[in-house]
Amino acid sequence: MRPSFKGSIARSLAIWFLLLAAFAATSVGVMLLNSFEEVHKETLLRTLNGVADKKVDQISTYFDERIQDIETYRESFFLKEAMSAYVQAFGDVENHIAVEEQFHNVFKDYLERTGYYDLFLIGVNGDIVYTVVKEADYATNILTGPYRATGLAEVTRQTLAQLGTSLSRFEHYEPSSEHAAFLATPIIKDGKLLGVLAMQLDTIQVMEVVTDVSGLGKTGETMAAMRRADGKMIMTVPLKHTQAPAFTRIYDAQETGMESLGRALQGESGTGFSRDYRGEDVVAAWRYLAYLGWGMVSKIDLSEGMQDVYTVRKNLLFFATFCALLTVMLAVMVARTITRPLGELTEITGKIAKGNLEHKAHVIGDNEVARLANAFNTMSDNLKASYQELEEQQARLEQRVQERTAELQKANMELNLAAAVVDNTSEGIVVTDASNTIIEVNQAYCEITGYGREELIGKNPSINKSDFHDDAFYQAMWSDLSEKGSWSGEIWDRRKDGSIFPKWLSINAIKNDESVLTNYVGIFTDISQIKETERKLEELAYYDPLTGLPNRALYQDRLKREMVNSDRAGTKMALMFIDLDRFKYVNDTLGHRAGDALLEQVAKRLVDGVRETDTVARLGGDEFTVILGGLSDMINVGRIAQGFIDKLQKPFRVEGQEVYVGASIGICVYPDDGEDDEVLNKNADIAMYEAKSAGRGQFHFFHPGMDAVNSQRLNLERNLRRALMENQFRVFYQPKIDVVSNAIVGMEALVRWMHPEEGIISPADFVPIAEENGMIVMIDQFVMREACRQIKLWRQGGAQYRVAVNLSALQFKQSNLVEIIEGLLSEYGLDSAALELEITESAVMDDPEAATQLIAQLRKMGLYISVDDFGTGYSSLSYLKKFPICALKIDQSFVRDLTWDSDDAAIVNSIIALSASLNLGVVAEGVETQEQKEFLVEHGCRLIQGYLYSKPLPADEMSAFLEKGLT
Amino acid sequence: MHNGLALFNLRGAFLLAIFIGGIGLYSFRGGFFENGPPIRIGVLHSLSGTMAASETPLVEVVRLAVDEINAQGGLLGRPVEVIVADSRSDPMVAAAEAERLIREEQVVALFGCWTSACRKAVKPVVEEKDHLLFYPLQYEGVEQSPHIFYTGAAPNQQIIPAAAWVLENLGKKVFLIGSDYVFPHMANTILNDVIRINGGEVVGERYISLGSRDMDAVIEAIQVSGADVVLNTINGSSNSAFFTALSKLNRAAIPPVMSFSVSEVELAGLPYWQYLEHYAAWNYFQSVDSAENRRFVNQIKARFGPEMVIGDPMEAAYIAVKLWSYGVKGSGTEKTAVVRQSVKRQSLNAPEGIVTIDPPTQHMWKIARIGKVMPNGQFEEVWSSARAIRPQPFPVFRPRGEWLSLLKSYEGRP
Repeated sequence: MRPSFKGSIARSLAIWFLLLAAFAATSVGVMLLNSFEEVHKETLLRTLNGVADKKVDQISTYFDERIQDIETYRESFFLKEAMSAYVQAFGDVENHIAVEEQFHNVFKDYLERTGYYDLFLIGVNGDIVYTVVKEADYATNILTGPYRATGLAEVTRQTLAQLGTSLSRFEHYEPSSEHAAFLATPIIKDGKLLGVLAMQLDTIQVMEVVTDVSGLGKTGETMAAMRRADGKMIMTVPLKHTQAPAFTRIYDAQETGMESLGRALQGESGTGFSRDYRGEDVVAAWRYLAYLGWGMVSKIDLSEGMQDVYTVRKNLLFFATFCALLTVMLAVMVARTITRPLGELTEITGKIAKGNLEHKAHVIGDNEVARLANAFNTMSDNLKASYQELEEQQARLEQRVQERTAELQKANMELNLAAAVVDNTSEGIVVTDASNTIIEVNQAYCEITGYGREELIGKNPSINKSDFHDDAFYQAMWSDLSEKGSWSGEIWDRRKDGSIFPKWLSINAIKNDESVLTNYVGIFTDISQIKETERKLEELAYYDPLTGLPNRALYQDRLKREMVNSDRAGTKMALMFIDLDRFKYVNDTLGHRAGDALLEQVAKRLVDGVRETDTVARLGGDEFTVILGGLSDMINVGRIAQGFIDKLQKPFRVEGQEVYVGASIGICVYPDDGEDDEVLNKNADIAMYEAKSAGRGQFHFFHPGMDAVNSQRLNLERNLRRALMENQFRVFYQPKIDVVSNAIVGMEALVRWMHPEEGIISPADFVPIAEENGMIVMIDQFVMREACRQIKLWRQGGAQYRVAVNLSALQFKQSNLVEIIEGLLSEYGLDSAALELEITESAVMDDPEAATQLIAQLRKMGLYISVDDFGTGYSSLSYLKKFPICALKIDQSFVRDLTWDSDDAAIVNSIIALSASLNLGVVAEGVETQEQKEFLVEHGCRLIQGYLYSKPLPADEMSAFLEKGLT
Repeated sequence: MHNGLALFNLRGAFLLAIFIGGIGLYSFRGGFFENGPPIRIGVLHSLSGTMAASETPLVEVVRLAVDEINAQGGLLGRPVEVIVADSRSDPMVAAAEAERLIREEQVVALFGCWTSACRKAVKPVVEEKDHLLFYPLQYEGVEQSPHIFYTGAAPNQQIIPAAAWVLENLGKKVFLIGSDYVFPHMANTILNDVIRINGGEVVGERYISLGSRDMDAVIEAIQVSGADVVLNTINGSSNSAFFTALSKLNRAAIPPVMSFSVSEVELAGLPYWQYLEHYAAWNYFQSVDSAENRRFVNQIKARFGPEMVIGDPMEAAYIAVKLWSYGVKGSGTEKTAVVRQSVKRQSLNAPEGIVTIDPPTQHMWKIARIGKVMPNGQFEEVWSSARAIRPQPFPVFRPRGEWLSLLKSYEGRP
């Protein structure tokens, strides 16, 4: 059973060899041809480069030699004599003839020898006192006369200005009716300028150099052009293929074949392949000729340059065909010798394939086919043994698979159950890995925090962190976790919408079998509701556990009862609000325990000062109230109040120390000052604030005028905290302008309170209060964070501006200020140059030593520091010098009046001078009028901020402002 | 027979594979081997000391130019790498650093120096090593080293035409003031010649030591002299003291000033321009109105911020790098000795206009410009030479030998 040639290995081999040979021959051919072509093109480009360079050199040399000639000639005694003589004889006919006799022939001879067209002697005032050829230009004034716009005039002017040799362009020269260029040089004798020596060149010699085609083959050509006033190019040498004479052909740089010339005229040089003005493919090199102001292109036709490549291509094709045929013949011969023993082996294999393992192949010789036959026999033996082994293995495997499947199904069910429990529980569950990265959260977690699962996974749980707890709190939590492996407690976190809520959190550290920590699992319950209930429960309990006095709930109850009693008996009732003046100080310096002890003693002294029937209550903190009922007049009330003040003025002994507190008391009377309990409470509160602000240690009765001023203030203070919680603050931006360069140099971030009912509340109204109760720190931090966020957005949009934020005195004293700023910068990926801090003068001067250190630290970080409201406080010059600050900001109060108040003008002036002498920047704030701006600029303050340029704008409007720029 | 066949097949296939592979590699060698290590250039400027403020922007501009080159694929398929050395405002350090850059860092060209003292210290180094320096400042001339390319102005492209313009437009009585070192002395020698040749009169000539801020004597001398105009070759920080002192005079008594070393960068620190009539002579102003310059200014502002001002030396430093890169492209190698020859033939459409290298002097063809300072610290062009002027480092009104011996006498000063 011999296999046929059709479908056999022999045929495949022949086909594959043919393909391989064809492929090899083609690719080798193409590669060779390509690289040959590349090299050839490279050589062509280099050749052209060389030709162009040589031309540039020749032209440079030509002019260098002319310049050397004229500079040597200028120095000759003869020339200086001639110059003096002709200047003197100019206009004097008799004298002139004598001079002409003496010099003219020598000049004429010089011209013939050197090949110049003409030679000129020109006086310092521009009179052409001598020429050899004596055309129409002779005896005119070249600077003012009819030829004042020619190349000769141009070189004369240049020569007079730079006292050096200069060269004009080739232009049409009217007196000669030819194109001409001029070369001129000054003639100086004994340190005095005598005049100018000028030579006229025609184009003949230059043209010879340019149009020389050596090195450019049969088709080579050099084109040159100069730029006309209208931007078009005029050919300055004849074109080989148009026969047009020089200075007649005009082209646009965009026209076909003129691009290279256009590039040369722009000062560029280079080489490349392009198409010339005939539409022929060419290799070209272009150059700018500085002496002539011309662009030059040397080119050669591609067909001539590539001639060799075409010949090689033809030879290669022949060679490749020959190789392919030869390979096919060889392949057929080789294939036949291989396939014969293979045919036999195929037959045996066919038998074994039918299950007959008893057949053996014949082994002949020791080549690959023989070894294959041998191996084949061994294989058929082994095959028999293997079949049995295989069947046994398979049976064992099947049993194992069944067992595992059952186990897996059980485990899967358990897992599904656990997942369902986790997802359906109302507790939030979060699982992190050992590095505290979230790897899973349940549905409840997402619902409570408002984040989506995808947003959380991969993050750190501190994404929910509020600013409610200090670092110590978190440190304690982590140390518990690492020691005991678990932690639970109440913690306030932030939802995605920014609101803050309490939760009860249990964290467990999970370890694997090797006791290596692998995960943390946190489970928490939202305890907002529980908290609320707790608070209500507290209200229900009537007595303050610390002092034993009635608490707020009982006090309200008593107040209402006493009002009823008063109505019934027709008497009056007085209500006192007592606030301790220095309680906070005691609490802060001696601690809460001391504070509590103090409150106990205060309560005792108050109770001692009233009748059995009166009520003393503690509303919370250091707020106490007293209800005095059954009064017929108010005479005694003032006395009692003064008694309280005297008693609380006396020292308290707390934890072995004497402390002084003092109190302020506000009093209102029922029914005179209000008919319901809320109004009474409010009015007593107002009166108390009045007493406090009047100087402490005083009591004040309520009167209606207080109402308007103070209720607003009280409201504000109450609302401030809520404003922070509910994100009512916004940051506005006001640009700082450099009025000299008319550029925006930065901006100041300003806080605005958008109250949901009362609209925008001015910082002037709430900042002092926030400073008093310390909330300014949180407001400042909010502004800094917001500003950083905004800077990042602007940077992403490509706007690089430094934004200044205000630092309150209180913030400035916070020990962690540097860490906060570093934290913010790294959180938003900003460099420190993005942020400027404005610190008020008073904050800095409060403790100058500490301020110096802190400012130095901030400066070291790279922050820009300016002193705000400069001029309003007291500044020690010696300290000011020491502070490493960068700039002063002139307070707007001085800027406002400076145009009519000479005092303010003087202050502004001296601040500017001070900043200049201390080498500080200076910025004026609150600039509203053009007059103010002019005054400031005139006195050296070029940085300005104010309504004149822009009011403070919300971030989006500011972005629009930045985009528009200043007009 | 079977044995022979197997051997033939194996060896034949192997040889064929090597043959084809070899041919393939040979023809693709461009793609595989052309990219080499970066081409390194050395930048030698003062990053510390009194010259740091002036020179630091030049380093940045060189980087800008190199980044542009690299963004277009580098040179010869290789990136260009900048090695910066701090010459610390000290010519001795500059010379030592130049030597280090050449020997250890293997840079192929140097870009640097501001003061003539620095250039004169580095010159013997580049000459000895057969190397290459690009110097970007206008200077006093009287030098022509085949190893230096001068991309700033020669005297006939700045000092001389400006003096001629002053005599024609501002007055004939001229007061010369300068810092006490080689450049102002040499410049004033040239100016003395030019003023005399043009029929003007020098009514006073004073020098103040570099960095001095005491201007009382000089201001008094100017007032007493009755000068129509002051020509100023003060360098460095003394300029601010000089202009501050001038601005304090009665405004009618302040003569106009023409400065030769005060660019937009130096102006930026001074607020007095609405009081003073001040001119400066350069080849480039930031206000030059051309497409190329607008592109240049935008690029610098985009990179260094909108407040950045640009002066002539920055532009000269920029075009130096460009010209060098053209030299490398033109010669197909970065080798210093070859590039030095091919740079000679380059030209460039620069922000200031077309500049061309003058092969014999290795200075540039440049347009001379005079600008009047506007209150915003920018220049308004009041005169220009319209066409590029051929550089003449040796002014023609004295023989070369005389210039060289004059120069030697000024260099000998303390």
